[in-house]
Parts: sequence; C-alpha cells; structure tokens
Amino acid sequence: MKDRIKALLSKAQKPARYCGGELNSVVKDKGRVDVRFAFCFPDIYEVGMSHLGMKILYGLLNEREDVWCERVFAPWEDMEEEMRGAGVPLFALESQDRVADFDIIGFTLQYELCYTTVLNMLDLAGLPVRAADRKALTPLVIGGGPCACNPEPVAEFFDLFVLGEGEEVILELIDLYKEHKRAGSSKEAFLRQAAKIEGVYVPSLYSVSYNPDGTVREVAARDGAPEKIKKRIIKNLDKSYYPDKFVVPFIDIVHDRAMAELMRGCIRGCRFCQAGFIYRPAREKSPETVDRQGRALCESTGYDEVSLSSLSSTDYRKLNELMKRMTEWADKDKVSMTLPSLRVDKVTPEIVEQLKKVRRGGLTFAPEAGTQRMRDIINKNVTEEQLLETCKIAFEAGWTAVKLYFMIGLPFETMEDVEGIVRLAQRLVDLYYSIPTRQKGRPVKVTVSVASFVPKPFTPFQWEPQDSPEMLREKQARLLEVNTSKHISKKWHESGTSLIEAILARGDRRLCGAIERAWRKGCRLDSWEQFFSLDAWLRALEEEGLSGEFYANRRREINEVLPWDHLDFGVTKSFLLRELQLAQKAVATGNCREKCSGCGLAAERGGVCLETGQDMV
Amino acid sequence: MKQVRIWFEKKGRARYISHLDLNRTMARAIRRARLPVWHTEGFNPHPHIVFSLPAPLGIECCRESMDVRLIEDVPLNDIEERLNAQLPEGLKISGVTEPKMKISAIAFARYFLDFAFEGKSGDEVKSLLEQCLDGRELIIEKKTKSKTAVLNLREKLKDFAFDKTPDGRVRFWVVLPAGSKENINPALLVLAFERELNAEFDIAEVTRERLLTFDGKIFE
Ligand code: SF4
Repeated sequence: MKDRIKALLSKAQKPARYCGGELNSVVKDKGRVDVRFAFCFPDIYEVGMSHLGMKILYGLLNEREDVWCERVFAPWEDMEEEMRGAGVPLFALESQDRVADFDIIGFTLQYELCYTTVLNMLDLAGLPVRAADRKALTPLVIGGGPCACNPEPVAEFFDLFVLGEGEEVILELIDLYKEHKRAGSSKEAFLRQAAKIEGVYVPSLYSVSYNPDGTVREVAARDGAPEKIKKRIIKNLDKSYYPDKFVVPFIDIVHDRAMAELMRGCIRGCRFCQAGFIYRPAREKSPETVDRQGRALCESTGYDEVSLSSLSSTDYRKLNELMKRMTEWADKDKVSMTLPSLRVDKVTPEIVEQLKKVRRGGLTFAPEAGTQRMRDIINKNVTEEQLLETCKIAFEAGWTAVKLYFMIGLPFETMEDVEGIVRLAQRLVDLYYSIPTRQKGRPVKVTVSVASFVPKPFTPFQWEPQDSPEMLREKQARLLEVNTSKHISKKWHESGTSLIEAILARGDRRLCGAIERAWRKGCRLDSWEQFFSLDAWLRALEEEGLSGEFYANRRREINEVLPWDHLDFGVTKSFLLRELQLAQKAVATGNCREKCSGCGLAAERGGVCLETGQDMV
Repeated sequence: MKQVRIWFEKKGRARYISHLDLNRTMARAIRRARLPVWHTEGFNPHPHIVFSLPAPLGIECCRESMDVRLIEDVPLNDIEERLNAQLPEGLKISGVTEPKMKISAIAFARYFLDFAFEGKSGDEVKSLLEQCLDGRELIIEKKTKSKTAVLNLREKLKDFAFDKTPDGRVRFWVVLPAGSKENINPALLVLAFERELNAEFDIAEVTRERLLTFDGKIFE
C-alpha cells in the first residue's frame, strides 16, 4: 500500500471505503494491459457498490486481458478534506494509482443529483472539469446510465456518452480507443470515429441553437455525426455476459447480497416511470440461466441471500418455476431468496412462503397514488381490492408492518387524490383489526412514504410541469392534516431536491454553467440531505441567468423541440403523446402482454415484442 | 461437536476491517469453503464464531483467534488450507488447534509500535520517546458520551522495551491491559506521545503481536 494513502486511511472514519483488497476484486499487472479503465460511481462506496450495472461492467471489462478496470467512488467529506489537505489526488481502489493517469474514466449517471459529484471527482483527480479543457485523447471521460437519456445538462463535461445498455458498445469503444492510442491520434479524430458507433453520443459534434423564448430551436450535427443517436439494446440476455463473481465488501453496503437478474425492461408502462420506457422492451432470462447465475454468485461470494432483481420481478413469467428450482440448492446452502419489487396484484401464496423465510421488517408496496382515478392517470394498474387482498394474505401470515410508497404532485392531481393516500392507509389499518387470526396485542403499523413527482424525459409526462414548491407544500400540509391515526406514520422528504432534480432531468446544455457554479459553491453529494443546499443551487441558476421555473414548472408545447429529441430510445414521440392524452382522460393502458400499444420498440425484434408477435408490425 | 481454535493474522489492507465486518468476512469465507461449522438457528442462520478479542480498527495483528464448532470431523490442517483459499488479501490462517485456554483468561496484549519523524534518525526518535516515559505521567483524555476522563497511561504500561525495525525505525514494544476487564487501545499511546512531543508522527504503525493471560503467558 502507498504510504501517503496509508496515512490518510488511518484518519478516515471508515477506511474500508477506500482500502480496496476485497475478495474478488481484480488486480492485474499494469505493465501488461493496454487500457486502464476507471469505473467511477459518483456517490460513496456503500451506494456505488450496491449497483448491479457496475458489477456487470467491472466483470466484463476485466474478462479482457488487455483491459484492467478498477473502481472509484466519491470520498465522504472527512476523507475529501484529508485528501485535499495532503494533496493526495483521487485514486482507484485496486491499484491506488491516480485516476488522472487512466486511459478511460467512465462515470455511471444513475440520478441527476450526482452531477456536482462528477465534477468534484474530476477536480479531485486533478483534471479540468470541462471536456474542452482536456485536450489530449487520454484520459477520455465518458458517461452512461439512465441519465444519459438526457445528458445535455452535463454535455460539456464529458467527451462522449453511451446510450442504452453498455455491454457491447463499451467493448467496441475500447477497441477503437486502442487503435487511436497506438496511432497517436488526436482526441477529435477519435471522437469523430467514435460517433459512428451505434449508441455513442459525442456532444461536441452537435451545436444547439435556441429560440428567443429560451426553448431549443435546433440541434445540428456536424462532421458526419448521425442526426439521431440510437440507444443500444442487448437482445438475448441468456447469451449476454453476467458476472459469476461480485466483489464482496468488508463494510455493510446498501444492498449487500448476490443479485440474480431476471429480466430487463418492464411490460407495464407506468406513465411516471422513466425506467419503464427507456429500458424497453422487456426481456427475460430463462429460469435455467437465472438459477445458474444466482448459484454461481452465492458460491463465489459466500452471500447467504440472493435477490431476484428486475424492475418488476413478479412479472417474470416463470417465477414459481424459478423459485422451486433455486430452493433445491438454496435451502441446503442456507441461502434465502428475496424479491425486491413486489406488485400487489401478483403476490401468490408461494411468494409469501418464500418471503416468510427471511421475514425482516415489513412488506413494501408501491401503489404510487391514493385514488383509482389517479392510478389510472399514471397507469399503475393496481386496484384497491388487490392491495387489500394482498395485505390480508400478509397479515394472516403474521406480518404487522406494511410500507407504502406514494407520489404527490402528479399531473392532473387534485386535493382529493392527495387525501386518498391517507384514506387508503386507514383502510389497511381497519383491515388488520378485522382479521380474527391476527396476533392479539401486536398493533399494526402502516408507513406511508411520500415523494414528490419529477417529470422525466421519454415518459408521457415529459411535457408536464412539476408542481410549484408552494403547491407541493400545500399538498404536504393537507397530507399531514388528514387522519392522524397512531397506526399510520407518514414520511415525507422534501428539501428542494425534487425541484433541482426536475430542472436537471429535462434541462438543456445551458445548465452546464449552473452546475459548474453550484459545484464551485461547494455542492456535491447532493442526494445526501446534509450536503444539499437549495440556496446554493438557486444562486447558481440566477448567476447563470437561468430560470428554474422555465425548466421545472412550465408546461412544454407539444411541438417544442425537446433538448433530448436527437436521442432515440426506441419509444416514439407519437406513442408518448398518445399516452399523455389517455392519462388526461384517466384511461389506463394494458401491459405489453395484454396488448401491444405500439410504442416503437417492436422494430428491435426482441423480448416481449416478439413474444406477442409484434415483430410482424 | 468439536470446538476448534483457528489462528489468523490480519495485515496490510485487512487491518481496516472493523471487528463487526471481520465477523461477516469470516462467516462468508467459512461458507465458501463449505466447512461443516455449526450455524446459529433462527431466521438468518449464520456460522457461529467466537473471536478471542476484537482488535482496534487500523492496527495489524500477528496472531488472533476465532473459535468455531465442527459438526463433522475434519482434519485440522484441512481447515487451514480450505479457509486460506477463500480469504481476501491480508487475512491468513496460520494454524488450527484445540483450544487450550479459556478466552476469559486473556488480560493483556503485547504490541509493537513503529515510529518515525521525517528528518530524524531512529536514535533521535528513541530518545524523544524515552523522555516521554521518563517516570513522568503520560496523560490522555478519554472522551465518552457523557464525560471526559483523564487517564495516566504511564501506569498502564506493564512492560516496555525499545528495538529497531529492519529499516532503522524505532520499534517500541509494550504490554497493555486487554480483555473484558480492562482494555487500553494502543492508539491512545500514540496520541499521548504526540501530545507530549507536541508533534504528529509521520509514521506510527501499531501491531498486536500476541494476546497474553493474567500471568503473562501467551494465550493458546
Ligand atoms: S412494441 Fe408493444 S410489446 Fe414491444 S415494448 Fe412497445 S408496447 Fe410493448
């Protein structure tokens, strides 16, 4: 270990965040690889290490003999202070080498509030934050992840973005990079070639012009870059790479378990949910694959828990068959299975049986809205009866705590819908006390967790305004007023983060300046309440001459050029518009298996679209 | 069921594994090695491990122990081999024995502390430290949640001696109370020296070399 880093570690609160050396972490001889890749997660270790996408790409890249991929996380404030004080730049966990010396620095952008952390990490690495100020080919700074579906607010900090699923395109990029590095190419020459790879977006090859009212007039491509950049999709998940090892952290992290990936995408199309649209089409792995991959991970890590992960695991068609198959070895090895995302309409007695084995705290459901009208608007096809029925099964099986997730500030919402949230919670309390077999003397606890809605690109609500902060406060007040049963606890977090998230999510390139200003004012780790400063953000916007309201609270015209219109995530604008109009009429849309709603993905000939015969469309 | 005592060292990066995390790390290694170790009962069964004495975060250890119960007979050197194949860098099994003493017999630990000040020779550092120990008090404030206690560390040093590391640094050997009755974290000694000298060491590395019993025998 390097002495300077050792000295810092002895002062850090949690040195295991920075020391590396965990089981299954990959150490190579740096003299024998061609490309050193720093995979950066712009949040702290415990959050980043829980992320499946990072584990997949880490394994995939390290399979290649010519590449060494290492992990980099944002330091917590104590460590940042020590690093800056001692002049120790950002380093990668495995080699403890400076990130600035790597070939490629890749950030995964999982949520908008990580943007200032990206800048802070580049700065800690000793690099200029703006791509234009990093003249050489090396290090190349690239981004990916869900926020890359509208990367405009961070476009000036990155050399390129990868759109969609990264497993194939990252390898193509590395091959191209190797060629150019060997030939001593300029960064510009490399980027012009990279832009020809499907799924690669090079923002510097596009110039954006604006209308007098501030909306985007045109995004013009140059130097042969494509007009539209298409996201990448892995068609056959059974054949795609999946790691048989996870790095096993020493410290407790957010999700400290093995993860068997069931599928990607979601058949549902909840209208608020960006993941439900940008990861289309839904594609399942076969139970054989999931079983094999889950088992391999448990064996290589020693984890005693494997989560069956996906956006909506109860929609996996062969869930019962899979669980039966896995139980055969899992019981023997004392491994338990967990389902991260339960749909209330899909909970079967088999699932309840499984869940009972690992009973830990309460059951969690996400009805998202309190009234049927509102659930139809957002296309959350769950009825109150289904929720009650499921909770009845759970209560009868001995559960006494239920946690429900909701949103307020949804489009077309009324105060009645807001009150409906608490009414629904009360109905669950009543249900509990009507069950004769409940355990006497054990009170029920219903936790209502409420978040503010943030409109996102590539959803039917992409044109809709976010409620103003005043309106959100009013709704919150009402929520707290109605029904104060001691069995219901209401959780609400709102410190202005959702406003900033809304600005960044649908922002354009002019926000780059505001993000840089916010970072210079000390913003980083914005998703951590103790670090978030609304005031700093608002001042940054003002100094940049930008209005937060313009981005967050304005209804956008249907014919307006949206900042992300040149990016193609498969879902067509006409489909999203159709969905918005149905929402307005409170009409729900069936899921992909019930009826294809012609979202545009059928052209990709994969997953659920094939299953329903939509490839013929 | 047969109880066995597994001896291990904790060095390099592994020194940053806290006690709680060490428990989990060892449990996972046992699972991966598929050792027939008795598991706790209940909703979350996990291998039952009893450590001799938690080590403070950030120090290296030469010989720590953990006890497990075997539900099937396994040759002792088999355990060593199978576990070593599953441990992360820095953790290493050095032997497996039958427990000879009770864990409650542990009362002291022997440490060695390597010190360096940039620009000062080993002998210079040694004489500085000697001054600190020159029969005077060695005071340190110990903060707990409610109050600050003043502790005279000088009284707690049971035995000490100076030595040299292979690369010429000062090595300070010391025996301190360790165990369930009284436990003195050697990091306090580093702080006390720094306070006395009014300077921060450039290098201050602590190693727990052996655990000792009441009568100064090596814990086995
Ligand atoms: S094309 Fe049809 S089946 Fe395929 S994802 Fe879109 S709506 Fe679903």
